[in-house]
Amino acid sequence: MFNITFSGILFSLRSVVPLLVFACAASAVVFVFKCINYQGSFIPAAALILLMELGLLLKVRLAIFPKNALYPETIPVGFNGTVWYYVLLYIFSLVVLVVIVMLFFCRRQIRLWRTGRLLEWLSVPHKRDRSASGGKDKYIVTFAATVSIVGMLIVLASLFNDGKFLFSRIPWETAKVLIPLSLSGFLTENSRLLQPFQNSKLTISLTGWGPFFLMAGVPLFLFSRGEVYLALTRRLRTGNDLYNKHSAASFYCDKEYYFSVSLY
Amino acid sequence: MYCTFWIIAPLVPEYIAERFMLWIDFWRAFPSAEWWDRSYQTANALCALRAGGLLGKGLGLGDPYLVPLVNSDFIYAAIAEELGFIGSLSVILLYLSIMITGIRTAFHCRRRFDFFVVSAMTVMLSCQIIINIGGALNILPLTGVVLPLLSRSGFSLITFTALIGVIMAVSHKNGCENL
Repeated sequence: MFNITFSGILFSLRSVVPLLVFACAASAVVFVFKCINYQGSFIPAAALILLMELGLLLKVRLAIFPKNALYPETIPVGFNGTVWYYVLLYIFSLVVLVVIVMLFFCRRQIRLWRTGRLLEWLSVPHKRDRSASGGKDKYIVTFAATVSIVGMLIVLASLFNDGKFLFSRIPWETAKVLIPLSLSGFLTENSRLLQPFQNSKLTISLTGWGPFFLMAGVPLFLFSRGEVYLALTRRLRTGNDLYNKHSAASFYCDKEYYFSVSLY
Repeated sequence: MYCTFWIIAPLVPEYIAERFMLWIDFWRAFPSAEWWDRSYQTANALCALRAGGLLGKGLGLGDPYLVPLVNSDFIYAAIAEELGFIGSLSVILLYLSIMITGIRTAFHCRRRFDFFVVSAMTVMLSCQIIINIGGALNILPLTGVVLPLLSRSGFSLITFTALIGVIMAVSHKNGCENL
């Protein structure tokens, strides 16, 4: 009972419930945006929700039918663990989205370190904020904090979680938000001084652009060092491991095989 | 491209060099067991893309597990196989809508900091999408990055939602300033 037929395949109600739960959460997010009188473009939110719903649909499909749905031996493998984990993760991501957008609404209500704007406090690009937040060049503090956080996560992950932090071997996802933020702060404060062309002549000042390239290059150094560390502790898979141990047939095996190869 | 690669080859780790060489010489030694051993991952992905056709095999009717790492790196191949060209094109259009909104938001910013932040976030998002889809289509070398919002990922999903949140927040700010 409660089965749905879609493209010739019988889906049980249990496989549709995660999609419905996520759809309800997405509707709630849209409702929140409406309530707070969001004035920006809704296109990214709509695209985000549609992509997440499609991603969840694929995860349900891959969890229910590890092989082809027409094969009689198909069984629901890891449905409860995998799919509900992703439902919760997607809902948590939507909460993150709402919180980040809401930070811009808290400009007058919650004054964070006397500036009120979290993103700008991190980089201090605005003249009005400079006196309140302790002067310029705060992007360096943000940058140092980013490098410290990434380094700390690498060490923590390698110590406690078998070299992984939320499925990331090297948790450089933190840097994806914070490094552009600090670089934006640097460019905002210094872009007037960093004109490559002055009096129709190309003038690239190393004293001006040097810190920028240094900041942009440090993550590469940090991540490559991280890889060296993990390779030394034999936690990093190499190209040869991939070619020798992975084969199309072996991926019919269960999840344990996959993780045993990945964590080689 | 060969010349460029031989210049930078000593600087990159061995497995990156192997992936790059695999991409450049993809059809070398085809058809042979050696070729299959080297390139089965991309070859299976290309087979899946071809098998999908215009409308796809149908959800649940394809064989996505033939492609290694179909949950994470090659989720685009699974979409193309089961939902076809139409489905994969829809995914690209959804990503394009986010990118175009990001670019438009950046150019509507009144303050330089907002412009830099939104530009950086949009470029980062776009690069990862292009690199992943390009890798699945064998237009670019395989890099191992996930497809944002679709692939099996944990931290990456939260990060990309945060990036889109920043774009939306600045878009809201632009909207308020234009009132």
